[in-house]
Amino acid sequence: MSDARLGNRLKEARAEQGLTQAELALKVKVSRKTINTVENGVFTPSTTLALTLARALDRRVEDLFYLLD
Amino acid sequence: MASGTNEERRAELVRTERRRRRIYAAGAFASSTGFAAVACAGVLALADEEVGAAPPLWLLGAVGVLIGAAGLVAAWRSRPGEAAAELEAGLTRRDRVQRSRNATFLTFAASALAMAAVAANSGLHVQAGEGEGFDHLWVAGVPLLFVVFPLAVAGRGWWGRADVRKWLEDEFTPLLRGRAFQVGYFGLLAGALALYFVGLYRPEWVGVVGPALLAPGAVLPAVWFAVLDRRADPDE
Repeated sequence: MSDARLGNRLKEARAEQGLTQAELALKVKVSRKTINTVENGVFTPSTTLALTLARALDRRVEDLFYLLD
Repeated sequence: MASGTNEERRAELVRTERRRRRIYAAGAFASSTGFAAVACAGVLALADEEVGAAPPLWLLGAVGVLIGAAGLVAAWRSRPGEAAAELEAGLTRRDRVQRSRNATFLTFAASALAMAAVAANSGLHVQAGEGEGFDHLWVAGVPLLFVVFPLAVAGRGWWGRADVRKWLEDEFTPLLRGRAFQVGYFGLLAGALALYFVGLYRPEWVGVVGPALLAPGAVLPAVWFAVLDRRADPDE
């Protein structure tokens, strides 16, 4: 479900846009739970979702997700 | 920062709601246990009037009333309030529909296990050659579990409206589904293996214990799916 090598700055990027988890979830058409699990590193999103999140937050995917090593 | 404030508020609501749910669950458990004790004392007293007059039964009844009433008061005082309503308002429709699906899975699983128990009893009658109409019906209903539950977990057999169905599939639904079926497969294997040994050493029991050994494997994917979905988001 999760990948220990992957880090993310989704929460910070979302907060900068002034969005709640539910608002971002509505924008990218997933559940709030999905957003929460991605933010907490419980769930590694698919490439499609990562790109959709980046587009919704007006960021590059590399700005949102990075390798920890 | 508006979002930061929202997050803090939400975290506080989640903490309040968790505490409330714990008290509510404890209250509900205490009231059920207390009133069950009262019922037991009553049944025993009716069964034997002399025993009913003995102190232990009156004591059991009195303690049951006290515990049951205390539990009822605790559950009533910790019923869903403003925090629950505010958290609920922060959910998307997708979250609500998926939560409803999980509740349905758990309810149906409990009903299916009860049905398997009845079917096992009916199997006993059928095997003894004393089966009546309903016995055959219950026994014939067991295979339905092996169709209904896998289809429901696979998202193929959901009977809700089409506009509701579209909210059920989420980004990580296939992942949960895969895990749920994996656990269900092992559950079914364990049941089948147990049934194999029963068939070897007590073949006359197969018709009776069959539903009880196989039904858990059929409902396990649905239960595990609901558990994983809930566990994925500890905030809920």
